[in-house]
Amino acid sequence: MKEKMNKERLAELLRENFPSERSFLLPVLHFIHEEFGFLEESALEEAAKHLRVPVSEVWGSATSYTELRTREPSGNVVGICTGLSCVLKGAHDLLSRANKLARASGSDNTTIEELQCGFLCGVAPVLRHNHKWTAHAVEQDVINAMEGGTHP
Amino acid sequence: MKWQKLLAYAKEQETLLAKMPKIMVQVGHCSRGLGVEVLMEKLSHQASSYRVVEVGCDGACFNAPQIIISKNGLDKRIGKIDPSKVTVSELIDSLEEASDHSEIDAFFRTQHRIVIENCGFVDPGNIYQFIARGGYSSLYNCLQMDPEEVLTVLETSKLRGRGGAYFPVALKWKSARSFKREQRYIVANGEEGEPGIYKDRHLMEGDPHRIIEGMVIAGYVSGAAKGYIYINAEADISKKRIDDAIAQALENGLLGSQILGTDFSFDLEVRQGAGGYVCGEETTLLNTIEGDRRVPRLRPPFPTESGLWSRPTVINNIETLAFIPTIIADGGEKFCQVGTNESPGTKLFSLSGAIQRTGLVEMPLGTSVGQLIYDIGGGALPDRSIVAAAVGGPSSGMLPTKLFDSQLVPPVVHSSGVVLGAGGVVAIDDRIPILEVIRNLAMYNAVESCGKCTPCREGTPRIVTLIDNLLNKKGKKADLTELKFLADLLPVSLCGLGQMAGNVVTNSLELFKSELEAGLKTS
Repeated sequence: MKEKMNKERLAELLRENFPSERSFLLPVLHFIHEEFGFLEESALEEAAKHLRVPVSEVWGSATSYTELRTREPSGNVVGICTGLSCVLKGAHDLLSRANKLARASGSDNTTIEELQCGFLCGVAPVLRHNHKWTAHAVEQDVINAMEGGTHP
Repeated sequence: MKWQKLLAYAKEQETLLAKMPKIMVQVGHCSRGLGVEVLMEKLSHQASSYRVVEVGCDGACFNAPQIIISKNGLDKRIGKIDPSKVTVSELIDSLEEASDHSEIDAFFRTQHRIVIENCGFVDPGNIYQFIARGGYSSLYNCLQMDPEEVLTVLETSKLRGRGGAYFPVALKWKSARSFKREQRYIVANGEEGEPGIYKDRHLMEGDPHRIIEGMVIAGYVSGAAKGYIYINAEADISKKRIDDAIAQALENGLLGSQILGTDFSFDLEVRQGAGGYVCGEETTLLNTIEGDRRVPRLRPPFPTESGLWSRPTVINNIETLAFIPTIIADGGEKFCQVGTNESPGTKLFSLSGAIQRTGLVEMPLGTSVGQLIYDIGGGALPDRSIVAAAVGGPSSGMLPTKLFDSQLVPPVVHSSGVVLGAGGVVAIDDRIPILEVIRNLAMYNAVESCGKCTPCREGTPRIVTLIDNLLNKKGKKADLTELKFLADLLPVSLCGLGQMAGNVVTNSLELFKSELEAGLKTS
């Protein structure tokens, strides 16, 4: 996990990179998601101030996007694509393997995400670990990801 | 004059570069998942007598990662490389060795490649190579023409939007032009949030300048001075290549103020979506650009009248825009030489699922499902048999093998609710039950529903529950009736996702009824 920036630094970065216009709400949400790993509440308040949009509307918009997390993921994040093309190439086996490993480890240090589609359908099945995709994934890739590093 | 100078310079550069031995490494969203960056790194450091060029992918996903080595007039394609194990000398030494091309030949032989002709073979980061191969000449020619003349060429081509709605492009541009407002906008829709579709990524990664050229022409003809390219948040390579291409186009006077010395100015900005199918719905996309919630707008007014900030806005799919330069260069009649009378031209199909050769293919509209799955895709995987194909994504349905001679034409491929959509074809084998496939498609719609319209918000999860009953062999006859009721109700939703979310049900009730009935409780 990256060290979180303080409010002043975030405000400064927002001023430097984004005009104070409502139309930059989504780019700002992406920026915060990238920096914090999720949409941190106080960061959204800062975004609202900078863009001059009510916090409630920022929050309303932020929570409407399926690809943006609103909660901090715990530790290691392993995403397994369960789009149709991946399912046809064994994604459910990979998913149950990941869930089994997570249960066996007994810690809550891993978040397993079921992804809608990674759009790598031509090289299915795929998994995502720390922003990195693995194509033609096999069980060993799941094991490696589960044992691997933490989410930035 | 400015154009002639630029063209001469580009050709000179191309001649110089053509003499040097080179290795083209196909780096894209798919091949990166197979470690192509490691391969790129190795080649860049160790293949010192070659110019190592990062290009997009040519669509042969089944053969990734791929490189093409060119030396002394010889071209050699090497695929299925294991980047961590292979050595650079092994790759270079194989240049003169004979190899089996049958798989690749079968994949490419019957394709009719127009819009992806450059992908995998042209450096997306080199604007001069694009120009030397005819790029931006259509823009130059359009700027010498009256916008009405350009519209006539487009009308002759009968080009329809390739994003799923298949609306005539000339009509859309004309409509935006007809509303007298000072500001108009062009939006290129590259959100591509449907499972099984990856065509726009290939185009943006492999031939970004073609899209920019198409957009500037769209701006000139529709009377817009500003454009947005909307890219899926996951498609970071697409974004990078488009960003770089925009910078090069600006540098060379092909974008920005007074393009090629004319009075026409056009600016481009890149925006990224954040998830799913609904972001790609045209009015939702406009809301997200403006900073509003991810929900669709009521139509009419249509975006051509009142789109971004209530100004006339043309929204075209990336693939649609990529066709524009070729149509202008070759004329509308040539475009009509392939395809069907009603729907001429070619279309990109994203081919995936349980087949031998997956990838992105370009074929004339009217091609049959069987041609894609068997001739190009190579048929079933070992010890499996194909039972159906999901055509057109989660807003559509499936065709059993006995209907594989159905022609892929817009908008409707089969009356049971199978639509062409954005052109996804997923081969389904006997590995999982058909009911699982139906659930997978229905689940996607339920998760992606934005919640604005009640039939979609409440109906799509209910469909999943009813299918779960069948999957658990606890279905009742009344469940089938309710499924039909929900499917009939969904078309009152505001956007395409909701309107078509019932297709998968209507389709399976007609073509896969026995599979559904097998889920009924026996006692």
